[in-house]
This record gives sequence, C-alpha cells and structure tokens, in this order.
Amino acid sequence: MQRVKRTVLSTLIVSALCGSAFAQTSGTPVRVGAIVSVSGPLAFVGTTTREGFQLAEKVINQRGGINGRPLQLVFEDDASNPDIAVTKVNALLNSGVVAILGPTGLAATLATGGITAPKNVLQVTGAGIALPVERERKCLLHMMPAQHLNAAALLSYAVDGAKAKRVGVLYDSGVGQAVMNAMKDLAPKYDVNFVATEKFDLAATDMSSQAAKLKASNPELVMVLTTSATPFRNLRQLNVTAPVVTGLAVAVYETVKAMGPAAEGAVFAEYMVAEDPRPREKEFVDLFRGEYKKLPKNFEVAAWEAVMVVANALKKAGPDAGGDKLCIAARGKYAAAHIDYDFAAPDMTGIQLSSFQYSTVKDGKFARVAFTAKERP
Amino acid sequence: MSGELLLQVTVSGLTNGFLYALIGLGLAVVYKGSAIINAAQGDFAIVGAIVTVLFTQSAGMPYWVSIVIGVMAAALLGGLMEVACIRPMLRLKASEESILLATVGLTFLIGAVVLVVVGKAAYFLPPIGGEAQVQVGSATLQRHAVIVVAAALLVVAALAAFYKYTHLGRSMVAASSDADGAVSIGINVPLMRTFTFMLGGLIGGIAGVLQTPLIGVSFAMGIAITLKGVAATVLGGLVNPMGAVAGGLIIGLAEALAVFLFNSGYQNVVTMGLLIVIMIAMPNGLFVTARRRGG
Repeated sequence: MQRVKRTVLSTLIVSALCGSAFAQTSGTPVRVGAIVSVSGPLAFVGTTTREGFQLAEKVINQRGGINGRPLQLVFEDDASNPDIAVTKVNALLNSGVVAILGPTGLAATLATGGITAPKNVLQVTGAGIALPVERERKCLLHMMPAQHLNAAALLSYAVDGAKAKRVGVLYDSGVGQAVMNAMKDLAPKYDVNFVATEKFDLAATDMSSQAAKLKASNPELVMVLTTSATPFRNLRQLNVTAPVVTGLAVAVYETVKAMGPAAEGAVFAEYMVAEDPRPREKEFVDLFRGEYKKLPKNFEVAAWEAVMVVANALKKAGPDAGGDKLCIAARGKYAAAHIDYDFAAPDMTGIQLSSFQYSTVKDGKFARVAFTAKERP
Repeated sequence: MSGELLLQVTVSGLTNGFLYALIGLGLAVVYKGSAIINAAQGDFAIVGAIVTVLFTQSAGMPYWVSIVIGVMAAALLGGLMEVACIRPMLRLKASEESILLATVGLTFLIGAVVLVVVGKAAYFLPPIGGEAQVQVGSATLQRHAVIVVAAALLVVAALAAFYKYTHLGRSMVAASSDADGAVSIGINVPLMRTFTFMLGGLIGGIAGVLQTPLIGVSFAMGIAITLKGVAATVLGGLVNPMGAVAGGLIIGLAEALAVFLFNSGYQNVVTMGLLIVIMIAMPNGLFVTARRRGG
C-alpha cells in the first residue's frame, strides 16, 4: 500500500512539473478529417501514416493547439478502396470538419480530390501527384513528390551513381505504373536504354516469370517499382546479380524485413534515413522514437508534416476560417522536418530533386549512401 | 526468346501451378463432400502459415513441429467453420448462395483476426530444404520449389488413396452423394461434413506452409489465393479433386507462358482469355462429363 501511495505521489509530482512545459488548450476542438487505409492492401502505408498523424496531433495540442483550441483528428478507414474514401470524405465534410488529411492511395486521392476541389476544402495527402488534372486542384496539397521527380531520382542514380545505361525495370500496376510512365518520358534526357520493362499486377503473388525475362535481357541495373517485397525475393531466387535500385514505396522497415536477404545492397531513393538523421530531422526522429519506440521512415514524416501544414494554415487563417481562406493560407513555402516545400510551385510541391536521400540496407538496417541526384536540362 | 528463358518460365509456372492446384484441391474436396463452395479456402492457407510462423519464429519451436501445428490449426479451423457456421445454416435450410455469402464474410473476418493478431506485415518462412538451388537444365530453382512439386503430388496420391481405400474416406463420399442412404447404414452425415471441412483445412494449411517461403503470407492474401483456387477448380470440374490439380497446372503454365510470349502487362488478359476459351469449349470443366440441367 505504501508503495502504491509513493507511486501515485511521484506521478502527481512529475505531472505537475511536466505540465508547465505544455501549453493548455481549451474551447471547442478544431476538427479535421483524416482518411487512412488501415485495412486492405495499402494497410502497410495507412497504419504508419496514422502514427504520423496521431503524433502530430498530440504534439500540436501539447504546444497550445490551434490558437489555444485543441486540434481533433477524426479518423476514418477507407479499406484501401477509392469508393469508400469518397463516401467517408462526404460524411466527414457533412459532419463539419474544416479540412481533410489523406487518403492513403493515389486512386483514392484522385477520387476524393474531385469532392474537395469544387468546395475549396483544404486537403493534404501523403500521396504524390499521379495525373496532371491534380495540378488544377489548388486546395489539394501533396506531401510526396510528383512521379516525374521520383523517376528522375531513380534515373539519376542509375546513370550518375551506378554508371549504368542498360536498365531493366520490374514494376507493378499501381505506383510502379505511375513512376514507369514518368521514366519513359525522362529516359532520353538521362540517356538510359530500357532493355526490359516487365509489369505485374498489384495483386500478383509471384513475379518469377517477369524476373526471368528481365534476367534474360542482361541489364546492368534493375529498378523495382512496387510496394511489394516479393519481386526482390524473386530476383534473388533467380540469381540476378545486377544492382537493384528502388523507390520510397518499399523503404518501409516491415517490407525490408519481408525481403529478407534480398534487401541487402538494394539502393533506395527516399527522404528519411532515420538511423543517421540530418540536424533538421533530429527533433522529429527523437519525438517519433520516444512515442513509438521505433524509427520513422518516409510515410511517417510525410503524415506528421501534413498535419503541421493544416495546423499552420488554421493558425494563420483562424480556426474557423474555412474554404478558400484556408487554402490560400496553406499554399506557399514550408520548411518541413525533412525537405522544403513550395505548395505554390507549378508541380504543387516545389520539392527539389536534390532533396532525395539515398540509402542501402546493411545487415537489415538502412545506411546512408553518399549521392546527390542531378537535374538534366 | 531463348530456350533457356522458356525453360525458366515453365519451371516457375509449374511451381506456381502446383500451389494453385493445392488450393483448388482443397476447394474441390470441400465441394465434393458438402456441395459448398468455400470462399474462405485461401484463409486456411493464411492461418496454417501464420500459425507456423508464430510457433517457429516467436515461440522458437523446431520448424517441422511448427509446420505440423500450423497445418493442424488450419484443419481445426475448417472443422470449427463447419460446426459453428455451416451446420446451423444447413439446419435452417439455407440456400447455397447464402452459404457462399457466409464463407465470403468469413474470409474478411479471418483476415481481420490475422491483422489484429500479427499486424499488417508480410511474413516469410525459411525454405524447406534450405536456400540451396537446383539446376534443371539451364533453369535455376530453389530446392524448396522441388519440394513444393513433390509435396503436391504426394497430397494428390494420398487423397486418392484415402477416398478409395479407407472406411472414413468412403463414408465421406457416401455422405455427400446420398445423405439419406448414408444415414440408413449408420453414417453420421454432419460429422462426415465436419471431417470434409477439416480435410479442406488440412490441404489449405499444407498449401500455405509450402507457399510462404516463396511468396510470403499476410492478412490480406486470403481472397486472392482463393480466386486462383476457384479458377483451377472450375477449370478441372468442381466435383473432381484431381481435375483441380490439372486446372491449377494449366493456370500456372498459362501465366508463365503469357509473360514469355507477350508483353507481361497482358499476363492476366492472356490467362483469363484462355480460361474463357476452355470454359466455352468444355463448360463442365476438363474432367467432368455431366451436363447442366434446366434452362
């Protein structure tokens, strides 16, 4: 009993001391809708995104909320389905949320943007721009780069980093297709010859036939554009020895673990190497590690920053400002924990190619690769 | 395109084909014993594999012991599904469509339970037989792939012998083909149906353990695996388990050869196109002679 009393007393003292470090919030919460895919095929991204959202909500409220009012995120799961995402966005807007975060997938972002754009509702998504039509949606901000930038980062590494010209590509019908389309446009600039481009369905469970065809084309370098670990294993099973380069969609700890030994030596073009954070990233990395006892990657930091962008706009325009005022407040330059944005730039993100960081996997952990992507005129 | 590549994709196609065949075999066994299409067949594979992962990687038990526990867990899930879900529905004279719908619901339920228990990550098991590779001519394949083929053939042979030579197997066939007649000679028809679902679960569990070193396992894979199995089963003829094996092999080879012969973006179009042609020519499946009755 004495021990319990001591514990309670200690807790109260610590709370009192810590409480002074946190600003108080009061009044009606400022409600923001958050659509995440925590079930379905995109759950591996959606759940990490939710962690970034929740951490940002907690930290913002600890630091005084939105001009003294608490920020409240209202979470909905779209089950990785664009139709459900549309229904959820409509329901959230009818319930009076002032802005929308998410959804997780490219297709769902495209679909929900069709609802928020005509209503001038601020929407900030972790997904990149997939189609040119999204550049017309001035209230829809993207925290991930447009696909041409992902493509340029991969091609620059292939040509300038790995000194490879004969490139084979294994890509899925989702994000892989979007990046592949952009790579085809940029290939002449980088003087890259695609010796094989093998596609597989997003729901496919085995890509060994495509990997065999790729191997037969004898590439100097293989690019794998997907969210799945399986093609990496297939390449290893077929003894493909060419270096493997991939994007941020698979730069996820659980996916790398699923790749097993096939992840070793693969190069990732991404934005966050939390094992070796740069000074500007350190605060976020420490906060994330303190909250979840693990390191963050790209989707987590993008989600965190998405909430920060909405919160900053709400603080600037006022918590009750809706519609166009909020959109105008959000557009413009923004220095995030990991990269600099300019949401008023023609590509809607302003992300520079040089913002990409490169990593490789050594003994199951990410290690920074010293390489900076170069623009081609 | 070289002969070397053709051999490589053929070997890959055969390996996948045997995995599809095992899922199809489980579906056909359940259909043969209960006239029910079990949309949750792929989830037996998920559960069998995940339980094996948990016992071998989390509990640190020997791999072979974990495999046996995983496969038995899938078999028990099959029995539980029949007792808790199918049997009450049949007692209430539920239609075939209602039962099919219930099994579709079960696939989402089981997927959700797996998500809660082990999370969203994909898990892999070590290849049975280690990382060693086997050369088949100029083609390379893992020793595990050879074990997949051998295990699938063993399951097929064991199943045929089970139905033909064992009292239990013959009782299960009798209970499904003439329930009233089976009751009159003392066969417990509901129990035989439970055993049928357990057998389906057992085969699904084996398929799951065999596929996980190659393609991994995650909570959301159940319905995708079932769909391949359904295609294999329908192609071979729903009531003929051995036809499901042939169906699985045809689909696996068609997928592989579609990549070899055409742009890989057309893989599904070519494979499904072939299935449509076969089903138009042989609407009852490859190995079933019965005609559709009615309009």
